[in-house]
Amino acid sequence: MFSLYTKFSLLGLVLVAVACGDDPEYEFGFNITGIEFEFFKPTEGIHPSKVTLQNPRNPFREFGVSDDTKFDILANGGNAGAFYAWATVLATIPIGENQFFTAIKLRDIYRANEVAEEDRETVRQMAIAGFQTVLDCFPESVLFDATGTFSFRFATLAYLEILDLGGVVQGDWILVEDSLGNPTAIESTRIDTLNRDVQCF
Amino acid sequence: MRITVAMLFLLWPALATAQQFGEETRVPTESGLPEPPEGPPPPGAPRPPGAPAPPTDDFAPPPASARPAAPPPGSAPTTAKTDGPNVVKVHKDERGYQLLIDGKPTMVFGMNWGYKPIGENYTYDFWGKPDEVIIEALDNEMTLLKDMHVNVIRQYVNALGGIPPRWITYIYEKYGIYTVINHDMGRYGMNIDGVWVNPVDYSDERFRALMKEQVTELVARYKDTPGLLMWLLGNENNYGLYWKSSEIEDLPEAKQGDARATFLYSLFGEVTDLIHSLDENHPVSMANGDLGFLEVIKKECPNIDVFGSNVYRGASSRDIFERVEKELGLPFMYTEFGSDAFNAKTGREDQIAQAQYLRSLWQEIYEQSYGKGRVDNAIGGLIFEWSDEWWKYKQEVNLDKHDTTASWANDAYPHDFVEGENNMNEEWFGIAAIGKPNVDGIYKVYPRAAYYLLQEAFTLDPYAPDTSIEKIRQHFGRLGPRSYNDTESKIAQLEWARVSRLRIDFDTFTTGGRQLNEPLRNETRFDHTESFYFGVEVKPFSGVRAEVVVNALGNVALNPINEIFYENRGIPVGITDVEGEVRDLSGFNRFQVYEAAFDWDSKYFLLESFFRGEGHYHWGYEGDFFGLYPEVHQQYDIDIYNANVPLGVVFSGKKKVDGLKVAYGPELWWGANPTVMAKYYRIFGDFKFAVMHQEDIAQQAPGIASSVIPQPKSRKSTLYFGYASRRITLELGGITARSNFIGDAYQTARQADGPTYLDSGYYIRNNTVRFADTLGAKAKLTLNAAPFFWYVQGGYRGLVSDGGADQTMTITGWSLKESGQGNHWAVSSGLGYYVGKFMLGPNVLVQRPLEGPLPFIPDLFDADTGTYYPGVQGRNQLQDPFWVRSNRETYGFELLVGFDPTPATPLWAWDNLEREDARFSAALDFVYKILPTAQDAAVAINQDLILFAFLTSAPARNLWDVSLRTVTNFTYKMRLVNWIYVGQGQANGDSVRTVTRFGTYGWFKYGTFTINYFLKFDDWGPYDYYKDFNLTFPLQVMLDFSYAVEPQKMYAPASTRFGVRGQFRNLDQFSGRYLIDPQDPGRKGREWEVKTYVQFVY
Repeated sequence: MFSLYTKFSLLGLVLVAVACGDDPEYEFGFNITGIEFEFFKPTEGIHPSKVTLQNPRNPFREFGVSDDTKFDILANGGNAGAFYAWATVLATIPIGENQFFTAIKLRDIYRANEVAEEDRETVRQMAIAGFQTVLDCFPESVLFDATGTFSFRFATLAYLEILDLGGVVQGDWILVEDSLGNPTAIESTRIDTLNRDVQCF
Repeated sequence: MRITVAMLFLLWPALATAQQFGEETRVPTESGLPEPPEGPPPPGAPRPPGAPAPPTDDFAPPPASARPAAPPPGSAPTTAKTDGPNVVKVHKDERGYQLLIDGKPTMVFGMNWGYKPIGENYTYDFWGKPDEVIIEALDNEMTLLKDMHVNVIRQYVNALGGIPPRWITYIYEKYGIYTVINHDMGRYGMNIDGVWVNPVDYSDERFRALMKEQVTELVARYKDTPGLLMWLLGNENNYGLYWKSSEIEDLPEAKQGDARATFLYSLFGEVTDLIHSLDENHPVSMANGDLGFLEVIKKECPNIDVFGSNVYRGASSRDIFERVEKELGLPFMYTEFGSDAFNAKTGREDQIAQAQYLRSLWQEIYEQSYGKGRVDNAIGGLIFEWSDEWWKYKQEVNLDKHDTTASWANDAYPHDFVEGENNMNEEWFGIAAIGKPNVDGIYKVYPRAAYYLLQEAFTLDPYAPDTSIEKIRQHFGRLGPRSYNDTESKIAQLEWARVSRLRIDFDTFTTGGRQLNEPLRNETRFDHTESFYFGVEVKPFSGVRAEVVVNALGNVALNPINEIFYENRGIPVGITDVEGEVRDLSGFNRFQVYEAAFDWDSKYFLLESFFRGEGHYHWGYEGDFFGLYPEVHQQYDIDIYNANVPLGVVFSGKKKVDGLKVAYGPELWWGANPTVMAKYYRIFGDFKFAVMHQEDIAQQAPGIASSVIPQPKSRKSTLYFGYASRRITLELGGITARSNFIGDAYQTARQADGPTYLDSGYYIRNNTVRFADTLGAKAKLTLNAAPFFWYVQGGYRGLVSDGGADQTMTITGWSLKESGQGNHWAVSSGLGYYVGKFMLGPNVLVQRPLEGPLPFIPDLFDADTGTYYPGVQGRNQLQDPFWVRSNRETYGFELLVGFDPTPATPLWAWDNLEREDARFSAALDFVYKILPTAQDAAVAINQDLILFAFLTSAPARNLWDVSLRTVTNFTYKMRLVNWIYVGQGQANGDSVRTVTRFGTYGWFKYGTFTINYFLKFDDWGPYDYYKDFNLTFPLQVMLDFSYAVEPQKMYAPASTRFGVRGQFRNLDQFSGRYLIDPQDPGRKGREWEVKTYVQFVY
């Protein structure tokens, strides 16, 4: 029906057509301090959910935020910008530190009223869930100071934050005093955690 | 026997012994050790140092109970002739043909006899064993053969080896059994100038000259041997006329067969004349495939003395005697005939049927023999065969499994023939079953009903004056096979259900250490592990098999220094209850299925399903040109991670769907996504064609080893065309992969001057995957110009057109290969040159990614403007559509040097370490790689078992590696397999430290005693995370002694044995678990372990 020449020509045209596309875009920076938080999914920023990487409002979803920069953003990037940055880091490197500060930013958004009124309670619950995940999934994570020296267990901080947000700590966690008189959250048993079928992986 | 039967079992001793390491010492004839001209040394003769002891019962008569009641006059000599060669003539008169041995008419009551213990295959070298082993085996077997009145065996030899003449004489003098010496005439290939050529070209003058040289040497070696009966040429060579040559290819296709046959039989004719000119005392015959090419034989082999043929025509060979007499005018002798002892229809051993076929065939021989008034040209036959051969099906795998898969169909055996199905079971042709071998490979045989029936049948003297047709019929009519159905052989027969596995492991661990960051590990501790395996196999129907093996745990040790092992799933878990007391949960999965399999071999398909188990092969030699379906082995590496792989099912079509394969499963290989893949592969003459598609169904959850992190869910399709001519093989292929990635974003980097992104020196661009990025192609040309072999290969892969690693072997065992990943183009070329016992193999590779790795540019947040500048880091398989890892820019050179005196056991065959039969063989491999760029980021698993990607990779660095592998056979049961290596390596992760490591490892085996060992310096630890995080030990030592009830196999580590293993490691700042001593920062840590083990395996 078609000559060999015609077939090869058509094939060539198809290949050229599909091979050509838009020109690539160069990479530039973008402003994050003006970003506003908008509720997307109730598990955003709560491990093991990675839903934040699908959130089109998250400007970091395709980038890896470095360890140094994430603290700069935490301090100066605004609550929403910092939340998206830390939630992104949490989704790619799920450790207790990233979970804790992601929850901190949810708490700050809630407290600063940087969310639509109808979603404010949801954000509070998200913050509590974030802190609870620190207890459930990263109970041994510790906070290091700038010198790399052990400073404090995230579990204790998360425990106190849940209480501060008016939440109820799930599981068999109790607050005790250590030998220096500092409050320390400990888990008396993981039975309740197991019963609640907590998903950490 | 048909093509696949191939008679390698008989051929192999000749091939192997021909170039044996042990020939110099193990076969006194070639050793220079004094030996009497023929036969064993006389009693009392001085024995040279190192020479094997003579048998103490030499020439002792068998016990009276084992002696035949009455040797038939026409079968064996009453007195062995020891003063020179027997004179064997073909006699013809008006009453027919007879074979006269030293003037006495003798019918050939012959047997195809070989010696292959269970677990061995065609590479087994029986004649290379020490004399005492050979004598024990021969005395066991020949006694039985003599009792049966067998008077001839068939043995393959060539000019260099095979059965040594003195053993022919031994068998003859002690048992009265003659030997037919059979040269295969290139049937299974030939070593031509150091290169194994198969199929051989019978028109090639070089081959023909070499063959005649071999036969000349052969005749010189054997012609004066007492006990030699006859020369036999070939084995169904007319079934192997497939070679290509210009003389043949120029002919019309219809004439090519006759032309090839003319070359074949003209060589037979010339060799026949050659033998006649060298040896007047023994006739020449051939082992033809049935009655193929009689006209050509008549013309080209006018001087052949006896027409021999392998015939499988069921209970009667019908017109075969008439046609041989009419068309050739020759006496006829079966060189193979008989029946298997397995009923493919019922799936059971069938001794009765085998005995009935043989009874009928022997009655026919008697009736067609001299002076009976029929054709009168039958002079006997060689039964196929003496004992079962467990290696015949698949030949190199499942050697210790008595396979019941019928591999060819023959409607001449109607008792188990079903239209469209195979019914001939290669592994069940013995008239005796065999038992398990002892340390020396000696095994017991269990005669089947056919043995006893023929034992009685042969008591009739075929040439007695009163042996008439009527008497023959009366004699055979009295023989009822059911009365011989021997229950003893049922030991080896198939059972409906059986215990397939019973394994008990008792291990103890004593460990300790110093400067380890886990305090308990610094203490001397003792613990123990018990592990139990139990398996059941069921074969409810013919072709259907199912097996389940379960594992149960006793105690599980907490202290092994290698913390990842199969039983550690049972490590106790401690929890604290509400009262503050620590409670032990006794671990999880203390009882679980270890492996399972289900096979269904029907006439339309073969269905194989597997849950762990033995694994499966790749499809690289059947059209999977891009390596989509990798093979899975190394069960131990899978076991220790407790991974339930491979898991899936493979459908292989037959008949109208022959060539179709479908694999489907949750994890067909470790790290595979749930996938379905289909391949259709066909061969049309010289052309091959394959189309293949893989469709991932879902994304696999990550495992716990970084080497098997699942690839992103995708689909892949490939096309393959191949063409093979006499010297050239051309292969072309195309691939489209990961079309589901079209539209996905990715970044590229270009070095630039002037203002660049974050002053990094790079422009960073964002792009998206397009259809063209899914396409790839590959071409490969291979030239066979023995002793030169050459290949060149080129490939282009779009950014995401990922295949898999090339698991095929081209020419030799080069390690430098093009990546199977997408995003690259590559050209590679290698030359293999065989010179004598050496092989030189230079190989080069040029490979460049289309898009190079991304540089690491830290991100930046400008607090003054609130602007965030995203950083750039290496791509990785968790987040990016493609990445640069094994496809990194490489300019590589490799030189492989092999020394292998026995190329019939190739150095790079997968089981060479077990099979290599040279006294010494070696492979030296040098690889130098110029790696001008870094890579993208690797993905690893952190201590919380969470996947993460490194930010960067090891830097650009040129690397070299040298390894030397040697296999040394000190004696037939003392073997050392050793590797020595030195070279450089980089971590998978982001460590910039280049490791220069060296060491040695291997195993030494002496009978049932085995030593495993390694000594490593500055090398990585045993698991992949050591390489991910660049964790090395200054010193690692392991020494393992074990003693087993049978020789341990390298690829089957479990055997009944006990042993002790010691391990020791030094630790420094690059090692895991190392705790620096503040008082003595340079002091190294250490950890050690002494393990004892007792293992029972059934």
